[in-house]
Amino acid sequence: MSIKIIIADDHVIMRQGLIQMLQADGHFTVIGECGDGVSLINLVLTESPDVVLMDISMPEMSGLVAIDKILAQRPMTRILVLSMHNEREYMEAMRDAGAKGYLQKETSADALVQAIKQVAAGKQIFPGLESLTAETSPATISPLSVLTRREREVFFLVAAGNTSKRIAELLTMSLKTAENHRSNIYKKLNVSSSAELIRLAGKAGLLE
Amino acid sequence: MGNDNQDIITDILKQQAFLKKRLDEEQLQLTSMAKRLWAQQEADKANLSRELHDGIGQLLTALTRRLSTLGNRDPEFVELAEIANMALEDVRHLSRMMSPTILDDLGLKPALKWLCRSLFEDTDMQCDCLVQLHNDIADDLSTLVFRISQEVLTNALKHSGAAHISLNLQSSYNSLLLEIRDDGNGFDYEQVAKGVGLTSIADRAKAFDAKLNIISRPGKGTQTRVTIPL
Ligand SMILES: Nc1ncnc2c1ncn2[C@@H]1O[C@H](COP(=O)(O)OP(=O)(O)OP(=O)(O)O)[C@@H](O)[C@H]1O
Ligand SMILES: [Mg+2]
Repeated sequence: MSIKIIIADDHVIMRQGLIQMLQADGHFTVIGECGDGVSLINLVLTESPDVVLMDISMPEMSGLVAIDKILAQRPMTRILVLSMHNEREYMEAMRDAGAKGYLQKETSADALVQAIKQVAAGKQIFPGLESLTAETSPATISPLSVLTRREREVFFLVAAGNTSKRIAELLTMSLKTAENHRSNIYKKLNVSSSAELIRLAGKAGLLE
Repeated sequence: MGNDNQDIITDILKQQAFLKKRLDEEQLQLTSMAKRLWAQQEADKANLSRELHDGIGQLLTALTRRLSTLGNRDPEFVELAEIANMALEDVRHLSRMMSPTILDDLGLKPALKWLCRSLFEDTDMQCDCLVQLHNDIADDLSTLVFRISQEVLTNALKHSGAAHISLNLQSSYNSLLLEIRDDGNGFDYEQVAKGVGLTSIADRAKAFDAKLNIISRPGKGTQTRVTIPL
């Protein structure tokens, strides 16, 4: 049973890369491709895909509007947004619009293939918006992608076993700020202790 | 005699009305020229921003990837990849601030949320953002609100030393109310040497017939309020 896919992206090269990748895997049939929002709506309505793989910034009609229109006419459509934007506001907006997943274009081929299969099976994929559990997010997506730059520095220092006080010294910030960063990181990664954080870092291959 | 006087007065009134009309027309022309200039400026910034993002951004993406791959063999490269990634994020941040694609892609509310978050997330300051819009906002007004917010928040970031900042945007049937407060040092609006920031806020507000109100006193924080007619 092959998964039927429509791809929408205004960059032809991006589209071709995706098509090659999906064909190489063997579980997918690309039943349509296009480069703007209006054609996408038409394609979805005539071809009934299992999954739509789409970019946000496209000519004619923005991705957000296209999602609205598609879901208004075919509410069961499973949409996976593939975007160059890593800001969480993008992810939230797409989730609120009714997409089933959001990944960055930098995502590795393996993770992307896995994500499409999960979306086709009815799962939601929004790395960083929900806790990073093994079930909802492919293990290949780095926990670092949800952290800010400063948080990442703190993340590595926590993973290396430093206390908040030591981290504050190393990064020349107040103890309160260091502790704030630490608790934000814990929240984002859904861990409750440095031991859990180190375990997570190890699993993601971030410790040598 | 009475008739003559009457005629003179009528003449003067006519002339006054004529002059007033000319003045209004010129004002309108100036305003529309300013608006065209800003639109051009936004377009230029968008081009530059795209070049920055697609040019240097792509190179840094490639570099980051290569270094991460090498990191699987030698942990020293993990650190290098991390540095390359920071450079990539700097370029992205710069490019986004120059031209906020999020405004076109998602609209005013997510764009303001993003602005508040990304300006303050690595600081000790806390910025709350509350946006309640009940109607669609035209593109030029969205840009207006975004750019004014950007200048005001950047000022708060650079000059206020505040602990709390809040941005509040509400719409009613005939106006938009933007209010940004900080609880920092404050300043004397009449005395201070105005830079690009305060000047452009005032110019832009005027061009859109918006009422601008900046209340600030040394030691008492700053409140900027803009009322924009719809
Ligand atoms: N929120 C604020 N808190 C304290 N002082 C402020 C605040 N906003 C503005 N100021 C004062 O007003 C001055 C003028 O601000 P303005 O934005 O015009 O210029 P600037 O920020 O110095 O430079 P730029 O041209 O980059 O905006 C600032 O230098 C600062 O002294
Ligand atoms: Mg300024």
